[in-house]
Amino acid sequence: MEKYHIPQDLYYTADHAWVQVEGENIRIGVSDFMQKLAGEITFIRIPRAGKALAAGATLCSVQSGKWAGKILAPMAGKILAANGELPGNPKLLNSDCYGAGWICVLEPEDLAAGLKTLISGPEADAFFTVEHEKYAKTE
Amino acid sequence: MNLYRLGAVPGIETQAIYHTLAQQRQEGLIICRPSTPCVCLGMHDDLMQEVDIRYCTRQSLPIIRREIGGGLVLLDRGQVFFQLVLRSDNPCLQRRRDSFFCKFLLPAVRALADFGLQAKIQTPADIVVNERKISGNGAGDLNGFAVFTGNVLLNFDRLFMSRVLRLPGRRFRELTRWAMERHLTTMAEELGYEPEAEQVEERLIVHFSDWLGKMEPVDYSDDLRQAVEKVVRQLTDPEFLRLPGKRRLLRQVKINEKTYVRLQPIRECLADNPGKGNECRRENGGLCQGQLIAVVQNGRLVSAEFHQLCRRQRCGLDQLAQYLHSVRWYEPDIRRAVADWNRDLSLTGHWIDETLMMHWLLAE
Repeated sequence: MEKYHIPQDLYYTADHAWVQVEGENIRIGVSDFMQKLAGEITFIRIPRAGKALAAGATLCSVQSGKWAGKILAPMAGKILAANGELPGNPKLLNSDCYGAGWICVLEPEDLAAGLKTLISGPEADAFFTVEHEKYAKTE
Repeated sequence: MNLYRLGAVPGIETQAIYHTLAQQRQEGLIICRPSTPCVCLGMHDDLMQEVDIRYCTRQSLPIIRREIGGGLVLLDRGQVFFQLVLRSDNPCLQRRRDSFFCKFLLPAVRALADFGLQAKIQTPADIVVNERKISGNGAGDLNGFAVFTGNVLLNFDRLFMSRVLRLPGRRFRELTRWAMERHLTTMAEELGYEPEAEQVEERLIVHFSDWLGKMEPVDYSDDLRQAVEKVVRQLTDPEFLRLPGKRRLLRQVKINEKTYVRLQPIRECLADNPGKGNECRRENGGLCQGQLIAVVQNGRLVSAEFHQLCRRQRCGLDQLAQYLHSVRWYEPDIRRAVADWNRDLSLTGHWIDETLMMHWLLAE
């Protein structure tokens, strides 16, 4: 997928977030596809460390111009840490979405089961190709 | 495309309805108008910073938070809403959500043209008539659906709006109201009469139909009303209203896409005197602090007023306001204006600490 940077070692959610496995925990952020879809992100409401979330609950929300959207928890678990840099510098979500723009670290209730619901490997490329075609319109 | 033409419904319902459709995974165009006023926060507005809660409580004015973007608005009679809920894979959506605004606002521009108003879209998301904003808009993704909302102002009470906002002082409120008078407009003001809301709705439906195809009217059923009431409870829940939002060190009110009223605090005495800085005290013993209230349009100062500085007259700050008029809000340009003013001021035997002045003028 040439139009987007899609690291092969990450998992992805249907709403375009990435998930990286770190031992028993996962790190979460927005994919290159999502940050390009959103445009310049001007605000993020990050999750609170210690908060327990069900799968599909609102993990955080972002704003770009007059558009606002949510990122959902990819699996049930507890927030261990959130990136405190982001509220003061949300541009990191655009400029370094896989690095300094990470959003949070979550301790999943059932990591193995959670990962089965995510997209990875060659499927990720195919997924973003379809997503791109779905959204790519004359602008 | 389903058409939900609700007529006049309580202000908070006008917002809950599109959340409800997205929750129920239903596409549709909603045309409605508020029968009662309410204050509506954007997804990331900070309640405590933005809203005069005491005033709203005294006026029994409900507050709701929508889960889409755009800023704080006062919803009231005299506004007609058009709201579009689309599946995220609907073929008419564009990749960049903000790019879609131009398409979404076009039916409203055409509806205004039907009344003889030459409206145009001011990117990213305003409709203007004679360079004044006549429509407020927001967008967001809800439950896998893209939601776009807008309104047309038939009339608008700026005094009421300025009372709803939490603002630092009477003069800031006056200038906010003044900026709204100057940079917002309504159909009533442009036409000399207020058109019937139903007529505006009819024209909106005609132009949305031209774009989206035939509209199928859908009743506002009891089931849908009950679902809307449930969403109202979620969107007005005190915990949800008090979610932390965008906080600024400087109070700033956005009037339209290009116009802001902002308060620039000046926390130290700027005058050349022996008791400078925090040692300088007013006659009543208070610290010598002040503020600049600035109206910035298109990146230029259109109004600058200094208040509360103890040495205001002696230091000639009123003259500085004239030097700053029409200057770009850009450090080199402001620095040049301040230097010109200080040079002229020095001829009268006074001067201002330019470094300190620049520090407070450009503080973010």
